[in-house]
Amino acid sequence: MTVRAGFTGTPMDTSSSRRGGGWRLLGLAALLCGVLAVFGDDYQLRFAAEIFLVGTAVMSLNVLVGYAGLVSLGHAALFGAAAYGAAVAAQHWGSDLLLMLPVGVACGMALAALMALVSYRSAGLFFLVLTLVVGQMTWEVVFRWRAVTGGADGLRGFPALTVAGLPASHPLALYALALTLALACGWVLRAFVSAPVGHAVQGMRDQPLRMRALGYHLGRLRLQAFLVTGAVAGAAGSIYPFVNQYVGPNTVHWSMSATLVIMSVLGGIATLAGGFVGAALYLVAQTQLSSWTDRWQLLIGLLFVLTVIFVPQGIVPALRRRFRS
Amino acid sequence: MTPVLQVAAIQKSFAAVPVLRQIDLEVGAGEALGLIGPNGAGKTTLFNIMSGFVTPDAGQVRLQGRDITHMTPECRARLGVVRTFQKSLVFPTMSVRRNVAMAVRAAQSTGYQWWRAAPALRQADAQAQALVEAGGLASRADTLAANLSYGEQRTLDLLIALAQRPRLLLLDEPTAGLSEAESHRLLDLIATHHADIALVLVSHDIDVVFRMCSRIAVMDLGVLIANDTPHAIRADARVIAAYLGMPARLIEGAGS
Repeated sequence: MTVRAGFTGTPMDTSSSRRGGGWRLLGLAALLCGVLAVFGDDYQLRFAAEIFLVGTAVMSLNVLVGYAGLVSLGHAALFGAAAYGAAVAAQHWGSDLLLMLPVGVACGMALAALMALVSYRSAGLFFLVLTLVVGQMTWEVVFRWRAVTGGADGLRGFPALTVAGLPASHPLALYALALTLALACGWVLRAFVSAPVGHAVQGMRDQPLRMRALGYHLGRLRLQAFLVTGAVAGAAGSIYPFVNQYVGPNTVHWSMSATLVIMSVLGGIATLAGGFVGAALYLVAQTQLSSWTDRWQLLIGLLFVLTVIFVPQGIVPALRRRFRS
Repeated sequence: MTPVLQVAAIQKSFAAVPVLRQIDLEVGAGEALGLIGPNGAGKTTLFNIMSGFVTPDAGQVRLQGRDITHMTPECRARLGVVRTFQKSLVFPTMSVRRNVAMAVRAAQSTGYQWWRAAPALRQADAQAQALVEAGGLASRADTLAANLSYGEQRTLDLLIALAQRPRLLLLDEPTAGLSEAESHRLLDLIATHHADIALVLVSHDIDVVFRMCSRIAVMDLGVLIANDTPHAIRADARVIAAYLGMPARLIEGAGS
């Protein structure tokens, strides 16, 4: 479980007291996951799997936004392209995890590379718009290319997920898979941000001019940040269609990218664990509130505003402070 | 011997306003050149041209005989052209040691590594620690740079530059805003490290320039009006004219 401890890291140097707070939060999260695995019904397990997968995508966005300082409005396209890539591949070659994962990772990385290329020299608002454009181009392809993607109807009817030939479509199996993937991706991102390249990416966020004077090539750093976050978002996206045996064009729409950004801010942009907290909060609020009122988006907006006012760094950093004191 | 830095016939205009006209300079290893002049004289533009952040309209920049006029700042940095900026540019969310390690890693090209346990990185951290101690920040090695005092940030800024293993070190106002004691400590730090480095120093503090530099170049309105030993500069009529309004300070500074 040392992996999970990494989730509570921040872009700053970790101190022992910070880790102390992290361990207690980690225990709580592990307990919650265990309780859910034992007592959760099929619906809850599928829902939790969805939270893990979307949370993994948000976690990768956190690395891009919080650590690299690159605010992207096209991140859902990486996740969604991988989901479509996996679903289409499943129709032709079967849906084994050993195929789905590489396909998803490749889709995510390819699109991330394109985004890095298109936004090569841009910053701030221009960067935001260029990532949005690439994202919407992806949506356009998905929406218009009916023969392959099913257009507005999305894709259904692809085979259920297997792992090395064994069926993995049972909700508990999906839950376990999604959790394992989330932990593995967390470990990868943790390794990235604490390696020299991750430090350099944070240096690019804080002092781009100094980084150039030190001899770091900012384009190269940006590409690396895009590739690693694209790979992680792609890995999460590759399993996503199998949670409900469906993938629709909304997965790649820009509004989904905006939702990921909102989840990111709710949980805390400069944390890895924040991705899951933000995704859980948003998705739970969405399903619970929408069964109760049509104006659920208003309430989520209110939640967002309250977060920004009272815990501007996000919920996870606030919880961590709380647990430490 | 070829000088470390040669700047030949450099010209630069911004929107048809000439900023630099026919600038020629040379700095050798172990030599310290002071660059002084009133505001708007073109010192910072010349600095940017030397470090690659600005491309000149005409003229050449050579590093140990090699033409680097059109080379990017990143490439120059890897060849040992190191600069600081008027403001301290330190990494606020990193510890002092990691700030310096960032520069050591850049110099040993391990800055993009994905594997943090590599032996080269332990070596980089050890080098960074040694520099932090040499700079008198040993007790602050684990402090976040954002929490340092102004003077400590200035020192850290210089340590980052020294960690890049410069051949040519371009310092822009290194002592601006420092107390006299702090500024002396900083200059001592530079002096102990620049034995085989070519140093170019821009400063408004005439005192500092006269104390550190073996040669002084004076600029005014984009023209190099003098380039000589401190002794000769002190007596130069054109220099005193360019500094009209503060000749007393120049002469006073030079005398101390």
